[in-house]
Amino acid sequence: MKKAQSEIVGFVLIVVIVAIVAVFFLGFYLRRPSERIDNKELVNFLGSLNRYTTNCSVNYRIEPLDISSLSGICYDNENALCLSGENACQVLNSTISELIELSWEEYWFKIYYEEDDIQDSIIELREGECLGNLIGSSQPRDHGLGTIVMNIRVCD
Amino acid sequence: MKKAQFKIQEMAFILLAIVLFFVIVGLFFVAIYSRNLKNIATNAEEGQAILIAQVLAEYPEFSCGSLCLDADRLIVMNKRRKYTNFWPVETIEVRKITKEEEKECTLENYPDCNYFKVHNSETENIRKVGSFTSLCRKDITSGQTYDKCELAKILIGYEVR
Repeated sequence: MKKAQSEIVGFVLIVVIVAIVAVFFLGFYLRRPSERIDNKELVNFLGSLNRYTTNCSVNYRIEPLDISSLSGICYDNENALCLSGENACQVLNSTISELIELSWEEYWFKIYYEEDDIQDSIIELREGECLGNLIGSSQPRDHGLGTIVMNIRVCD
Repeated sequence: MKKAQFKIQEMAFILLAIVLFFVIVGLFFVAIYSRNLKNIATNAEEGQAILIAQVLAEYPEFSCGSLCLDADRLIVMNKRRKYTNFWPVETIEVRKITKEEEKECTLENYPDCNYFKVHNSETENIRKVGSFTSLCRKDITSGQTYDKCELAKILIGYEVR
């Protein structure tokens, strides 16, 4: 092979390699999942979920508690009982699980207590693995000295 | 092969490389642009639909507060003919999020039902979009009245032109 021919082969190789690398990065960039927070649908979902009336009443209040109040009771005392004798945290967990499963296919949901830099998980539910874009929302509310945060992320 | 032929070949490869480079750059920008365009369109459509659903949920005919539909009012408003031209959309439905089989609410079976068909204009080619909301009604426990709220979706149908 002459010198000129080998130069051409080398040049073509470089072009091909650069093209492959460019296509790889382009593909990687386009597939990169993004995350949008405070999606309106999820904001409404969390707002409505907070108001949902569970079938748990505690002794100082005869009317059944909503999810927002029940999560506070569950955080304060994980052995708290409903008037029916069921564990308040279990009622909270099963109620939320059922509603989320009926509403979303892939989700990551959690309720946690936050005070300064400390986070205590109250509930964490996860289903599926989202490979695409994520949308999410958080709703905090004051509880004691800290905040109880309800957070959800689902696949777009 | 003569030197001139090599030069021509080299030039051809360089041109090929330049074209390939611009094609990749072009594809890159087209992909980003179309992606943004799709996102913008989806967000706008979704936002508008959710906004209509939210506005409807705030109508005094339905509402019991922010993000709250009053089931007792919904059952009264069910398929009211006088309101047919009042609604800004083709259909209005409210579905409870529940495992139970779908059961349309009527004055006879309420509250043992899970689906309100408030308005239906019988228009074809309708697209439905929805928004989550609370569906509340008055209930009684141990002689005390309280608001029993459930999770529901208000579905708005608009004509696709």
